[in-house]
Amino acid sequence: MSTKGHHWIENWFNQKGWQPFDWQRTMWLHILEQRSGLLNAPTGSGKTLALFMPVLIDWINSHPDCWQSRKNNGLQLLWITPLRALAKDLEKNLQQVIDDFDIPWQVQRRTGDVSSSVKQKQTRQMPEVLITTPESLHILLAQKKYPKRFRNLSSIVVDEWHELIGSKRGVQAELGLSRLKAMNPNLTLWAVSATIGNLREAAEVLHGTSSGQNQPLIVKADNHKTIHVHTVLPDDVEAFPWSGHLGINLLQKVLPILDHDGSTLVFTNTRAQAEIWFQKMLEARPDLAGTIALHHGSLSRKIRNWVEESLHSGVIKIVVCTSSLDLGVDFSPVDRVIQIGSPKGVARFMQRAGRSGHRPGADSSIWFVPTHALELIEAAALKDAVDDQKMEDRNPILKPFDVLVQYLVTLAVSEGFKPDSLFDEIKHTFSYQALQPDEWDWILDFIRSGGRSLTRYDEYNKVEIDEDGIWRVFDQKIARRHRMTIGTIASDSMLSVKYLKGSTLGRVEEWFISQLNTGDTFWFAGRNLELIKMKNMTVYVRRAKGASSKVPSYMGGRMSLSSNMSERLRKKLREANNDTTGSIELETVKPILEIQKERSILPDSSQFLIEKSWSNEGCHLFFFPFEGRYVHEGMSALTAYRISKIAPITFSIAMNDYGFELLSDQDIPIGKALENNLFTEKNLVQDMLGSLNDAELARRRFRDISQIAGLVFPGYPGNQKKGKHLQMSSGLFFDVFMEYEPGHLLIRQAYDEVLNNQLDEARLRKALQRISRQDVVLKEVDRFSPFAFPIFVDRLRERLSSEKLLDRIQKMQKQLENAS
Amino acid sequence: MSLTIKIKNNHWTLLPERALFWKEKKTLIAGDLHLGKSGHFRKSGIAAPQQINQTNLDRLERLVHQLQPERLLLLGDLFHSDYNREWFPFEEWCTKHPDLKKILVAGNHDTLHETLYRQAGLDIHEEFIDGAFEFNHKPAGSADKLVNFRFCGHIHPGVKLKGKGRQSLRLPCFYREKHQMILPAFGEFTGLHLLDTDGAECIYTIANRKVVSLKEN
Repeated sequence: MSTKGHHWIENWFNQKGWQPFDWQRTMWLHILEQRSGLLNAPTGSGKTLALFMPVLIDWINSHPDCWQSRKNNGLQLLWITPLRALAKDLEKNLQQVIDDFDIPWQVQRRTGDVSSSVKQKQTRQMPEVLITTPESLHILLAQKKYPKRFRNLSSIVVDEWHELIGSKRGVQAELGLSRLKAMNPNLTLWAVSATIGNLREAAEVLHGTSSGQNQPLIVKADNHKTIHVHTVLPDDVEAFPWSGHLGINLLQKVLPILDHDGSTLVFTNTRAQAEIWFQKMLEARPDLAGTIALHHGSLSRKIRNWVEESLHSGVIKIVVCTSSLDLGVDFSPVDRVIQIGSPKGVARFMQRAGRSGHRPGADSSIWFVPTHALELIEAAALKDAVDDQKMEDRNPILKPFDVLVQYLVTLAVSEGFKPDSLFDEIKHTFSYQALQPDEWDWILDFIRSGGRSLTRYDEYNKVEIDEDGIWRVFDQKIARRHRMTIGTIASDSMLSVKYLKGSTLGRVEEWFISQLNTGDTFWFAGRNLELIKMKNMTVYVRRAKGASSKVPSYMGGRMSLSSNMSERLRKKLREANNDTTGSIELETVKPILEIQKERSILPDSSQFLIEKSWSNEGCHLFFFPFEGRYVHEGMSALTAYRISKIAPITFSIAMNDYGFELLSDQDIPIGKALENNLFTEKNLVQDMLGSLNDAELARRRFRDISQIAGLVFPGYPGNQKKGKHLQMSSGLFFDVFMEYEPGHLLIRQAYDEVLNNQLDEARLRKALQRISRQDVVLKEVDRFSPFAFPIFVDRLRERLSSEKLLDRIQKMQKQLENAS
Repeated sequence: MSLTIKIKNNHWTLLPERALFWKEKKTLIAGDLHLGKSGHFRKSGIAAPQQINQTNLDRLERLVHQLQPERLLLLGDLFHSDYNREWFPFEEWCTKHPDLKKILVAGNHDTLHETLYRQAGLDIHEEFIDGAFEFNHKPAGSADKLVNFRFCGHIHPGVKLKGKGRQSLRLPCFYREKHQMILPAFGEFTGLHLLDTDGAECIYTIANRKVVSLKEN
């Protein structure tokens, strides 16, 4: 190919002393031929140039005389990224290229943290390249006259698609794209994704079902990278804890890893863990002060930006972080990565490892720090995984009604819509391809009349139909509130943490602060703080002296071991049992497995272990499927429910990635339950739904759903109080819908989400099939085994009961009396 | 199933419908109806089910039918917020019972125009005293100093019961202190405020349509 555009681009590469990769050239070709598809490339591989250059080539070729002089050309390229932090880097990089070519284009961001004056300018004149998030794209679609702003659009890139695809944000992206494609059928659309198990499907999800003959292409950037995995081993595994998730015992062994010239990222799984590690590292090595920093999602944007920039410039050498740094700092030089505790999935581990040696061709180095003894088995499994590179799938979310409700109101707020043509458009997205006409009618009815209307006194009028049959929102207050709440990430009740003098440190969950009194100290943002007062959703603090004991723990959902990882874990356990491995990790953990054998058994692949024991809390049953928390959540509710059908009984349930526990104040008839085929697949869905009535999972799911669908209003930003009279907890909504409108689609969605996403019915079914081929071994044990102990100490519990409510109360009452 | 207790030689029936009946004076007492709450939300484009309002009125109707009270005493927060049209079903209900004396002890939410209350036939009081008993919207700050026995609402009291095996339950309750009793919110869809059981003389919870005495000192 040698057009004028190509010529300029090749020259630019030559001047830089670079040589385009073959796959980059392939991408240029495809995009210039207006093909669409998915590019499989990790961060730092040169994907930006692969996608951006053809847009420039096309621009030069189609404006051979004026490509360096034409201004205000309208939006040409829309770049959608899941993370605001990435948008900034990208803006800089694209602008740099444009400046090199001396093209009078504008590159701008349109994200939540862009000032409103810039946004207003964009409303009048769009830049040629706009970088945005799925949420901000929908906010653009919620503006009057949006079609003219997208008139010249020819290319769309959806970056980090693997991050979006398994979430409702991904569905939001699909919907936004369906609108843009309907306005402009010749769009070129490319996704960029890191390696996941289901790349082909990922491409199809992005492109929807309308691509017809033109199947999306898949291009792989073949930059191979070697990953070195080291496990930090405890010296004395018998003194190493059996449970826990902090891993601070190995601090002394982690410190030497930090001693090198380059920079280190220390990944933890929770924000609390990051805070604690930061604190402990600094205590152990005061000389690190000034070169070590903390980064997590609760810290203010300003602090995080500063950390990212300081890492970039080399001022900061060590950053203790959470998944907040999984993405972003695309071009920062990181030399080492430390992972504290189980990464729960192979893809996440590899991606984090990939943050080091961040140049094409360089090796990556990652240190894994187990937080308790059994994680050593996971360490062995991770090493295998890095060798064979089999990644997890990211499953797309199908037909979430809440996101659709929000989208319809978004369109009604701006230009309005006609249901018939919009139904077609939406049916062509992957997510809503199976949307039924009666579901569609229900949703239309929901936004127009607010569900069933009973009396003549009703005043519901959200979306109305004008004389041309177009559905619109006329009420400006409703429109304003809707624009403010666009998005699918439900916000928790968060309080800002501020110094008395004024600067903001970040945000913390309300329920944590509610446990504190004025004068109490707590550790946040790497500082010891004293609570001075709380006012208007703001916590005022000052620096405190002395030691502090409390670290905010955050309600963030606990991750579950992926099915890929749990399969590998079971395999390693088998190897440990057969002694067929030379793995250093398994050698190290051996004494613990010996104790397991002594107190109970170490199940081999043909055995399924159940341990029964008594404590002053009552009767404990521990089951060990090794399937990950999510599957255990479903399986525990299921077994509890099935046992409770034998006799009235109440359970509290706990679980971790290895197994689950049923605890009751009375003897649990497990023998009888096993005779009745406790693990049968028969009536699975029916029993699961039966078990859910009390398990409150659906109710918890409904929190997000009600917020996305606009039932729960989180309040005006900066002035939560003002919206207070329109606030009601999602739990109350759930209760009244259950009572008055059990067929409510949003309630049905809550149950579907529990079954499909949270409990993962398909995986659960597979696990039950596996167990049914195994021999159940029921062991009565006197002391908790190393497998059981970590579950026993877990405090996050579910409840399930078949006793009559009154009986339960009377029982509790008796216990209350006995206690006093 | 209800439960009748004695306070200062009068008989008080705690009703599982989250209301109270004063036998000697044939008075039905209810707090925090929060009528119009669903209408308030619906008017703002939030699709709360309309049935909430009707259910409250139906329950009130059922109680009046069963107990045949001469007086209805409402302990404030009768209507949830600004005026909306869900007031009318209540007004209609009131006119259907012309012989029932209706008294409202005003609460912080009771900010509608006076004429509306008048049209519905409500007598409005800041506080209402009858013999040795006083009826207010809010609990007294220092209940020990009370001379009369006070009945009030405002708080939406609830208790969290904990049992062995780390079980717990949240239920609405009548919260009895030495000189006052806080009534549960009568209205549906109003939420619970959990109270500490230690401060109470006695707690009566409502579970499965039955009033249960939980703690008696």
